[in-house]
Amino acid sequence: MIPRGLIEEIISLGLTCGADYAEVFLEDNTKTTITYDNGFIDDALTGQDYGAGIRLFKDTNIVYTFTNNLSKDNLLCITEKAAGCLQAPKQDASFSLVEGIALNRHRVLAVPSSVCIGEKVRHLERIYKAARDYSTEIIKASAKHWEMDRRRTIATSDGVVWSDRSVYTRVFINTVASNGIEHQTGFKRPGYVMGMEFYNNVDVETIAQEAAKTAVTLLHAREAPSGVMPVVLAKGGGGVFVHEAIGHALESVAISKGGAVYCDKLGKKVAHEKVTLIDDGTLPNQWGSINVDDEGIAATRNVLIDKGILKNYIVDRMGSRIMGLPPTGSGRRESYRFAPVSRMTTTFFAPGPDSEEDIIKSINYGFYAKEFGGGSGNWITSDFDFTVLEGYIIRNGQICEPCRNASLTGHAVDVLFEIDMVGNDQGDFHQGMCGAASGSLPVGNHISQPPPSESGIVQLVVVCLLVMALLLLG
Amino acid sequence: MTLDTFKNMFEAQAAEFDFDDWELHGICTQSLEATVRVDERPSITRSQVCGVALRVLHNGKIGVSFTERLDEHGACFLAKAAQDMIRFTDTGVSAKVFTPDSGIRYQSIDNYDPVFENEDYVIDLATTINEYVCQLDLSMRQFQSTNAKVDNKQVVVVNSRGVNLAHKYNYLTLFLHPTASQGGKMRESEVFASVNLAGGPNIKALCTRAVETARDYLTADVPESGTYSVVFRNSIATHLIQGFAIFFCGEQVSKKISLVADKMGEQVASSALTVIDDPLLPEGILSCPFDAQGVPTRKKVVIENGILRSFMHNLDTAAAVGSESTGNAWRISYNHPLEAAPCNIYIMPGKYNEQELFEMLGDGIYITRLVSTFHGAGVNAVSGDFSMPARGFKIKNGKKCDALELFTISGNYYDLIRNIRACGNDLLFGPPNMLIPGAPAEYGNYGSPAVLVDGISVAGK
Repeated sequence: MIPRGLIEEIISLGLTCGADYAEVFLEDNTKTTITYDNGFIDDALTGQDYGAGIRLFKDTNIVYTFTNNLSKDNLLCITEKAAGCLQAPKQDASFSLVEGIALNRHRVLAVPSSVCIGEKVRHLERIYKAARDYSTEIIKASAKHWEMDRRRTIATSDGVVWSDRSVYTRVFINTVASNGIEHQTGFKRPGYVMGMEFYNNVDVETIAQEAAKTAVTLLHAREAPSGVMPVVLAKGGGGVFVHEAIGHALESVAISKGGAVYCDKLGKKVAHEKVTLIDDGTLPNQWGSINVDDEGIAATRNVLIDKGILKNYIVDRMGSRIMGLPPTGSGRRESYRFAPVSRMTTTFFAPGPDSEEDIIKSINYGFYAKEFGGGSGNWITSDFDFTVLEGYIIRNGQICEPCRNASLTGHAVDVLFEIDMVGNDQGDFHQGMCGAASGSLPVGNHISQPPPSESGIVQLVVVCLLVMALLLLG
Repeated sequence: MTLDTFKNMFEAQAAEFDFDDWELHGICTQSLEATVRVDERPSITRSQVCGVALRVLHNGKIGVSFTERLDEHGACFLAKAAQDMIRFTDTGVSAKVFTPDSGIRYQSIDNYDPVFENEDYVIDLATTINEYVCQLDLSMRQFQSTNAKVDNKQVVVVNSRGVNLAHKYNYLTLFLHPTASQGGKMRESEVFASVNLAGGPNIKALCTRAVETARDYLTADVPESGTYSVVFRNSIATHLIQGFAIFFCGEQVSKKISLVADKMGEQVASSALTVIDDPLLPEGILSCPFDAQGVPTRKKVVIENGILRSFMHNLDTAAAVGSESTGNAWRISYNHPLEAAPCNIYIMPGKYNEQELFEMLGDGIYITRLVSTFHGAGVNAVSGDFSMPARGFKIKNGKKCDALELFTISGNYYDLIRNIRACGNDLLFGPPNMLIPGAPAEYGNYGSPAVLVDGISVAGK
């Protein structure tokens, strides 16, 4: 996008103007969406993001500037102006870059932009048909193909310039069931760091039928009860709990400011001993995976909690500087329009010792949360909440009638000790988008156990998890 | 390259393609964002981005593309990408671009304030507010930060039928979360304010209220579960209108997703509710004399005393239902799809102050904080079901009493708008999703006074 010499010149200028760290981020990103809605393609959009972000540190002070005017004059001008905000004395700085190559763990067999639109439309037609034909109560279905071919260059004053290309393919399946008086919805959003082979590797028609089944089930579901009760979080989408309740509170953007609930807790017991929590950006082709983060640090497998003991945080470069811990390849951003901060990749509970059957059987009266909506977590108060799109009453060790309109909420610091059983079936990861300060990012989550379900916010792998005494708000 | 130069280059490029019509929507944004903390230098983010979205038509079919490369390569990519899509799209209606008649008039709006170009002004304002909060409560110094952001925008809409429009506007937004702490327990509240040339809310008054609220939360109790009448604080009620306004938007109506799609002229809400969408509102931060398709914008009554009076359509959704555009075609930015969406939409203020609403309420709950208010989080945009964790206060005999937390309110927005008993007189515009990083990409600026609503289901202890 711009010559190596100009990148070196920008970093040199930042350092000369007093910065003690300078970073250039370049992005050339092509995206396409095609929506097949009730029998025809009603929306299609192809576009190109193309811009640069320049970030400077002086001690713990940060200045960020971004532009899509990539002329030399403009880039040098905005760098100098940004450096002025640091109010640091000028210094001598000579600088040159060497090229690094990050390990690519994500094989892509068919780059989507090289495949004709007609083939994408044919996949959408079969997904749509599978959802629409599930029941006469399904009045509407849509399938949206989403692809992104993201080319990044990250150069830092560490002296290395990284180039990376990541290809994402995803399909959004939405269904509406109606009885003429009210509507209910179901959705699924499978996606991978993968090319068009996604449509062969993933059984998208079965997933479409599951989305339709959720909408129909909810049409006949009762309102959820309320109260404090044992809750079983289904494997897969139940990982939204991991993401909202714990993950955000372990990000260095929260910890480094002080005051967050998990500050100064390294080496201390923060959860039941059955809990091992991992954030892993290296899983091949997984939705939340990366090769190198947006600060030029290679992805890592980061054990955050090991058998209930807090072992590490999710650390970006500034967090590393403030907290004195190594960065964990977690500095991420939606695009050059955002400065990177510490974010999750694929976050999950490692499988535990319990079977799903035993978990369900252990409950006299409780709630089984199967399909999840979005939620939020507060790293200061440790409050979390997330919605349960589809849930079921557990009575006498059996999953019984479906419920809708439930939220689960609590204080994470307490709830982590209330986890009583952890499922032994790793299951599939869940794909979602996480919205935070550096934009909307692909992330994965997981709890292990029943069939994979979908979270609107994150990809999470959770082992089927029994949380005693979680507050259910119906 | 400027938008003007690019638009001329594109016109020449378009002639080489077999388009019946085309429409270019360009947006340039220059922003400054300052985050101020106690005893630290401000953290600054500056930006300048420009891009264009293209819509092309051929035999009634549409192709859409966007680019940030305002050069020859970008112009060529834009035309080619849109053309590739044309043969696959079919909206079921004959799409058009806007054709202005000879007498067309666009209202003149001046909503560009040069003072916002002054970076020191923005940083000083954030610093002043931050210091003000710390003076109100010294214990808040450790966590207190204030974020101020200015967006300076230039928008152009050009099409093959003679539309050639440009508008420049800017606004400032402030976000802060005063956090009270005591004995290791912490509770936060929030302040959002939007300001433009026409003014904005009393920011210090909002901060004072938020600091007191955060402190009160420290001693909060959990309410009993049950069905309550509730007063929503004005800043919180802005989330409600952001939740239900989608029922009246063109796409939901034309696709019959909205349960009020065929209720024009009928009573769909309480007679206490009047909803206005006004793209010409002086203090509306998104005000613009034309929409993203070049159609003149106008003030419209969406709901009048509970009766459905107007939907919000763009040219395409209007054509699908045999209606006219209401000037509600908007894009969050050039890299987002065209929506039929509100601009500056608000609940019409009533005559009551907050204390009078408490007295009308008698016994109930005053909601001062909601989370997961987004579509896809605590709100289902199709069914209208909502379930949102909340904080607030008990109201007893018309008086504000103890703070409440750890409860969820739930219900359905189609029912909620029928159950509004009264509206306050304190209109405030809240934080629009489109300005919150990571929130769902939905256009619009949403305002509301405090509202009194009956029949809200509360799950507590």
